[in-house]
Amino acid sequence: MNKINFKYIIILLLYILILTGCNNKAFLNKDSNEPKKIAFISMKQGGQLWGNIKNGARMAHEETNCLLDFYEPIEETDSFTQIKYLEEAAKGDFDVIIINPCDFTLLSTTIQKVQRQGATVLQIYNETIAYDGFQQFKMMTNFSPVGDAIADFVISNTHNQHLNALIVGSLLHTSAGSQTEMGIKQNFKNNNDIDFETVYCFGDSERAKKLVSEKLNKDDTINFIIALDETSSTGITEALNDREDNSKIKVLAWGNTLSNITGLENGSVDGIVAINGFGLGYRSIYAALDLIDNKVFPSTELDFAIVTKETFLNSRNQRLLFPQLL
Amino acid sequence: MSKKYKSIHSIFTKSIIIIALSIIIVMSYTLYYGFSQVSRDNALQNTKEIITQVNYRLKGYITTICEISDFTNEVDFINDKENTKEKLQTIINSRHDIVTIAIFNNLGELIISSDNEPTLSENEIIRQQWFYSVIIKKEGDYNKFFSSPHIQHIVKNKYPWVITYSKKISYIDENGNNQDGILMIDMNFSLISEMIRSATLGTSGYLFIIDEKGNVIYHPKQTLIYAGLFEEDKESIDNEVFGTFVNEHNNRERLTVIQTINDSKWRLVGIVYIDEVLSGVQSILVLVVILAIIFSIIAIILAWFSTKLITSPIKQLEHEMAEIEIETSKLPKAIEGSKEVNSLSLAYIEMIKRIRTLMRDIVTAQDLKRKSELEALEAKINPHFLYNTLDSVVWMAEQNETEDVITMVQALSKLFRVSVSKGHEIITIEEELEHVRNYLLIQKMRYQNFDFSINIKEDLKYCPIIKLLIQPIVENSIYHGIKYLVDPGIINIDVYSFDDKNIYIKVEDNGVGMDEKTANLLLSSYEENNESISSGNGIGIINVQERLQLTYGKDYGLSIETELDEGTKIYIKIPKNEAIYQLKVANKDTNI
Repeated sequence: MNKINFKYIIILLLYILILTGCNNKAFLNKDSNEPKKIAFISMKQGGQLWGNIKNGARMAHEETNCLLDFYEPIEETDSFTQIKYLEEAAKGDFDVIIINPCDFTLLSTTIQKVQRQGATVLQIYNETIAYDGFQQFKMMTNFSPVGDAIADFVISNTHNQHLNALIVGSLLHTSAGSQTEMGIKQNFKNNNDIDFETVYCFGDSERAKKLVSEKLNKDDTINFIIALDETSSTGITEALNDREDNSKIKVLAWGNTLSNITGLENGSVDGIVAINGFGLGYRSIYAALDLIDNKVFPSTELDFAIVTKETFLNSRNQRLLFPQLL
Repeated sequence: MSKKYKSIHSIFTKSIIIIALSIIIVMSYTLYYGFSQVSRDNALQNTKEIITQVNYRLKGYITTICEISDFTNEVDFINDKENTKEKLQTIINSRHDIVTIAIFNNLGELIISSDNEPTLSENEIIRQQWFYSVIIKKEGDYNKFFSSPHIQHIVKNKYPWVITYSKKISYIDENGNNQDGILMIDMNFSLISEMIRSATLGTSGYLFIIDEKGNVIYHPKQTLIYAGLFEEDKESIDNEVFGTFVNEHNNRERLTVIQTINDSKWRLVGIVYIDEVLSGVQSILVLVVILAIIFSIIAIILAWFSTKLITSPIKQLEHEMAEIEIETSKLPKAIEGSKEVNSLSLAYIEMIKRIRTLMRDIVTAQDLKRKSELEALEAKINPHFLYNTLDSVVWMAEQNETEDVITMVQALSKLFRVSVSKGHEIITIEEELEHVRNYLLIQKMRYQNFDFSINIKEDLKYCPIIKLLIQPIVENSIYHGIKYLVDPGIINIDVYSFDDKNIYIKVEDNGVGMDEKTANLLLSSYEENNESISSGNGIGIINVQERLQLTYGKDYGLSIETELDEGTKIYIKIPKNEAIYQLKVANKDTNI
């Protein structure tokens, strides 16, 4: 191509550029990208917290026009179904898999495997064990501050009495439960006058109820029961409802379930740990889209509050307890 | 470096293309901004209309709520509690948008409620915003209050999101005393939001309500706002208060229309995204741009061909002119095309014709000039010789040498016959040699001290030669060579040829010869030889050289070989042309 022809081509291109310049939005703003596909593997079907998380994810999905598929095991203890869903999602052409892993050991191997196969996995709420050289994408998985806040709440509500706390968790191998428990323990260690014990119900509220009843029957000095999740919370409130006199026992429930809120209203519950599940679900979708675009998603701390009867009317707490306005 | 000129076709084409494309660009931009403006105006109009409609609906709704609240003016709800409660129940049952209606006294004690369930304690009631906001109002103040959406916890185990309308009222208690109280009407938030949500502004445009403090009453993204995941552009809205403006929020340009809702201190805000407004225009403009590109291509093609049409005759004329330069005899053709080019072409033809005529005239004039010059040169020979010969004849007659006088006069007669040659410039070599022979004869009779010989090949005798070429050379040999010898001199004339191209005539003498400078002077032109000419030395040879080169060109002429005291050889080189007929001027008397 000689110099003159090249010059004319440049002029022609400039001309087309000027011509389309008036209209660049019509040409350039065409969203040529295919919708991003995201798999969302929850811990279980149902549950107030998971419902809020899903609602948040759905809202973000509507805003971003991504394709969102939910995978939900029936039981939160069913790590094998989670593994199956994870492998299925990895085989599908999802751009990102969001997962709330129910077992930090068992899921860890599978997550590593699918990541090696090219899948991108974002862990929310719970995280698996991190091995060296294994890149983890995680969001709002730090529950130590929650444990610390719970401990502060418990201590401040015992009014100089000897504290004998029963901590009830659901799953032994979840980072959220473990970190919360660790947060509480770390805080309690600073005070020699605290006795506490942790029991696990393994996703079964009936078992939680039974465990709490047994413990209360065995030890009448237990004066604070702390729930680490919704399942445990349900078991605790049911166990206490069966007892005639609970006046000496304080309860810190978990989650914005209706039973917890009515418990707070009638005084059977002294506080509720309310997590902003809606925000978690919403942000997780945007974080997944950032991962697809190879961007670093913003690091965000878990949004939570401990709501009491006195702070129930606080507008922020109202929004945490009743995230769905309509 | 020579300047590179552009063709007229190229200049015309580029100019037309630039003008056409500029017009297309300007038109495209005008179209774009025209459409954009119209779309923006339409969007503004539509948004205003929708907002006005929603505002009207909300205003109607609020008026209805206010009217409902007016029942407190007529009913004695202290002394006729059951009847009043029945009325409240009727309102609740007929209006799904109202959750609870209740009346409290100044201390937060419930006087009457549409709900049967127990309410919260007085302490909890007076801490609620809708209560204390009204109770602190003074007489004459706007005594109504609309709360932000909140969970109404006034009834046990019920947690609806409501907007509470509260109003200060007066009532007469059981003791007949006038008391202040608070009327509370909880409006179902979901029904209010449904009323606004049904109005849509494009795909992602929306309406929302804020109160006088900028708190969001309703927003389609209220859940996100409450979760801290979305922020409305409160600053701009607070700055504007009322009206319309365009600004950018979250990297999107948007049109905001704000209206106030009567009786509520609320403001209704409509947001329309400009990119959505212009999306319809964009699709039209895609078409416009495609058309613009097509028109551009057509413009380029038309520009090319139209200029070709104009410039083609000019190019043709240019071509004709170029051909004339090469082929001078050709006459250019008249060019068809535009009137101007045709006129130009005809004028050019006329000009060429005139130039040629003028050139012919110049050539003729030049020929005549050359002829006159030749004649002038020839004329220089005769007076010298005639004078000397006649002088010799007189002398011989005085000596009574009758025979010699006869011979000399005859020779002179023949000599002049050849000289005249019936006016011909070209004669045969034979005739030229005859002329020389007569001349030598005369000179021999005059000087007696030399002998001569003339040799020519038979086939060269009738070759043409310009006349009177050899005689001046022979004359030079006599006067500047032999004349100074003590012994008799010899002059040999040989005519020969080596090929078919040239003929050589050699005039050789054994005279005193000459130096190189003199020889060179003899071969130079008239102009360079003014000194020699003025002194009369060698004028004959110079004439011969001039005549030879004027006639035959620079390749022909004289060459001299000479050596002092040895003699001189002068060569005449002429072209060998076809034999011509003899004029027979020399044959009238061959007895010499």
